[in-house]
Amino acid sequence: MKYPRLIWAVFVSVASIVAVVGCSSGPNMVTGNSIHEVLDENVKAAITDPDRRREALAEVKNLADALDAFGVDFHDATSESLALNSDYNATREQFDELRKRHDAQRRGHMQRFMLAALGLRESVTPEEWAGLSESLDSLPGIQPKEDGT
Amino acid sequence: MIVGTIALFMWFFGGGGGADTFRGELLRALELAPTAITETEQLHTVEEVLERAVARIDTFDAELRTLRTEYVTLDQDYNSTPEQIEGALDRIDQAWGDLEKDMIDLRFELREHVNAEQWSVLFPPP
Repeated sequence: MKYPRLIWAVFVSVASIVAVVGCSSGPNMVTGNSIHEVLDENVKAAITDPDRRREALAEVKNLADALDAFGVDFHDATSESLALNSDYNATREQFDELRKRHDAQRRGHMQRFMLAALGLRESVTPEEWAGLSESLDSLPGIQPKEDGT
Repeated sequence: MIVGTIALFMWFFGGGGGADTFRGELLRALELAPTAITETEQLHTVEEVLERAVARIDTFDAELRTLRTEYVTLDQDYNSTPEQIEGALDRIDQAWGDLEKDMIDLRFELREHVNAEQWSVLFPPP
């Protein structure tokens, strides 16, 4: 059950980082750039057909850009939410407005991200997909705990 | 899996991660409450609301684990459809939206029990 362990590790490690450093990038922070580097390298190694390789590399870049854009917006959204909460006189309407804006922003990022991710999947074979997946194990902070969670 | 790893990153940022940040804020407020509030009954009430807020986030975390398992199963399947994947993500998004709403309600419930000065101790400007 390697996949669930890996995903859980992503959750745990990044959650800890965000909680401690207030969402700024730390040494173990997985960024669009680090994902780009790993996937880029592995796509070049795994796919020899130039057209498919070019297509996959373009989708990898789209993924990385989407992740970075989301990271920036998430940082800003968290800061805004904390600032508003600290204002004793903030109204429910202000919270509703902020929530609506952040929800729309998040869904927009999701759409962009999903298109790139599914585009990448379409550009590779199932075997290549599995190989690219394993390549993400090398990213810092993605290490399952001993109990497998 | 790539979709899952990175998309869950995104949902972590949008959901679990944000929730974890706010959970930390609530735990800090719980620690600071005795400093800000000297009246015993008021302190008890404030701590009770804060503890309910923390418990709500914990419920969300448990819910997220179930939804994540559903999502991972789809993600491992190379042939899963975009609609299936988006549906699973929508359910995570809905859970996050429900959490947001409940947390805002609890925020205003808590506010009824403290004054501005006490609030500034519990939740200092970032």
